[in-house]
Amino acid sequence: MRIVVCAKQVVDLAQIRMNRETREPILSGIPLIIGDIEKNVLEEATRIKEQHKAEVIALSIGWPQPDGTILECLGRGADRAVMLADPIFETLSSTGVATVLAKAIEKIGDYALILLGEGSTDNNSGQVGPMVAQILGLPLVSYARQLEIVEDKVRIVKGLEDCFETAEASLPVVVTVSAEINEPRIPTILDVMEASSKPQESWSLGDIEISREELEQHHSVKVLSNQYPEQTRKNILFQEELGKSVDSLLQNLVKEGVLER
Amino acid sequence: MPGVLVFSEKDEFALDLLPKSAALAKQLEMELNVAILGPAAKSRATQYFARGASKAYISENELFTEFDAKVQSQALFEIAEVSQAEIMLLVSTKRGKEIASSLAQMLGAGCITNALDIKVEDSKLVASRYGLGGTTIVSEYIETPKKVIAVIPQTFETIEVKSSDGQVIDVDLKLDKPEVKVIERKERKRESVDIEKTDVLICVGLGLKQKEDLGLIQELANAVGGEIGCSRDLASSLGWLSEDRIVGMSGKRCKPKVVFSIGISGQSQHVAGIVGAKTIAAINNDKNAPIFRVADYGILADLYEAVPLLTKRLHNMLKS
Repeated sequence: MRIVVCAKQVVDLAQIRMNRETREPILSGIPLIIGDIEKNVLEEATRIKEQHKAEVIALSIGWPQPDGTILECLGRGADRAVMLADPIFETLSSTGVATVLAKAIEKIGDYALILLGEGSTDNNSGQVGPMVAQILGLPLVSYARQLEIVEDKVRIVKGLEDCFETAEASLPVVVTVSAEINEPRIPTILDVMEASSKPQESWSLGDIEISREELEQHHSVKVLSNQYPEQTRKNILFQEELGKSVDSLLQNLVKEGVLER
Repeated sequence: MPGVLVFSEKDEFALDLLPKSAALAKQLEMELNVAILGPAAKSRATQYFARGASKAYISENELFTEFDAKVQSQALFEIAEVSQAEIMLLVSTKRGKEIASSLAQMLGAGCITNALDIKVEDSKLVASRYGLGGTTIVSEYIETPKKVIAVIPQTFETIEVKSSDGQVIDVDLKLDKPEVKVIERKERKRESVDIEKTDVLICVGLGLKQKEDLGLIQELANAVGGEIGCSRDLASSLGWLSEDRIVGMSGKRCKPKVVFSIGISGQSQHVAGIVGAKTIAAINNDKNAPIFRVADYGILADLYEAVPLLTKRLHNMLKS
């Protein structure tokens, strides 16, 4: 059984600072890392591999080249990896990302299970999984918090707002995964060392038979602005003797009328 | 006439979205139509007309008895065609996002999910949503002729309804059988608490060393008449509190008068859930914890010392 894991590289959110004049995020120089949800996806793929005979292939597209993310995938249980890097990916909308992923998945071929996060750590739009399923004409099961392979089917518990649904679909299938599905293990030093010797391939747009013109049509959503909301917090830090700090805090809260006496 | 098509798998959410959609349709000189799928679709149409819909495209096809995102998006794709819809306004529930994404792919449309607001600017439909893990607001518009936007549920003001007529159009849909079979559905156990409604929210995070110590937090909550919320880890990974209490991007977004943030580092994912609070007070023993940068007041201290003291002072203060 072949499992394809789609992994997104994201900017390290913890390191972004705000430009105080424009209120925009300062993104230059911020490292690109694997998203948090991807760790759950890889953990799940690895768990399946431990129970069934399976090969896990990591797939990542991005710009600059997502080699850090690919290495992380290989350290977290993927057997081999495919990446695509192109400047056009930087501004591609979800339909475009899904198109590229779907083409690459088709080229990988012979897939039984395609796993993605339910939404990326940065944008969390939740669009790419359903779109990939749509393009490939495969069943889609989203928001998985339990996943089991039973013969030629997946049985999945989906977490929705008001209920849990147990759903079944025949392989091949696209599944999006929630963070609740597992607790990703931390790769051992050996895992990390082995990762760099696992096979990696780098494909171009030509390799997946997709033209730049076709992808240009997927710049369908234009960003007008991206700003931090006005922040009017006081940022007062009390560092006195604890009793005094607590009193100062309470005095201020009462003064602001947020605590009823 | 080109139209705006409104749909949600839950009537209540679609109805909430209608007044705003009506205003947008008017500005764009488009017709406001709705899709209603499933049992009793025809009789359900009345409430849609009362909120401004001109036409209701309905189908009571038995395939809609069980929800299936692909079946629903296929139906909307066909209805979009017959109703000449240019703008699809959906609701950004989990199911709504599945539908929006599949539909956008079928239509070759640009897609925005989790929209916080929509407005017409320079005759463009501009939507805003959270970016960068919930810390920024992204404002964007779709350039494709057809557009799909899913709005976070219950975002807009509702209006007084007035009874009004509309046209019901029963659509003959060509649908494929669902590929995914639902075997079981279990309602989520809901706690009676609704942390989105409290005036005082006590948020607790991984600074807490063990589940038993939640008692300290409960005492503080009792003293101040507040409810307990938590970071995602405390509920999802550790299971110390129910998932109904998760505050953040993937949990509840709360707007209390005051938040006491206890032992929470302040990752952007969590902070997105408290930015609406009037005042934020944080207790943390790490001077560099990001929570202090978004707080009005901070106390640099061990929560195990600070919380009991705070509880005691609150008791005295609120008693006097």
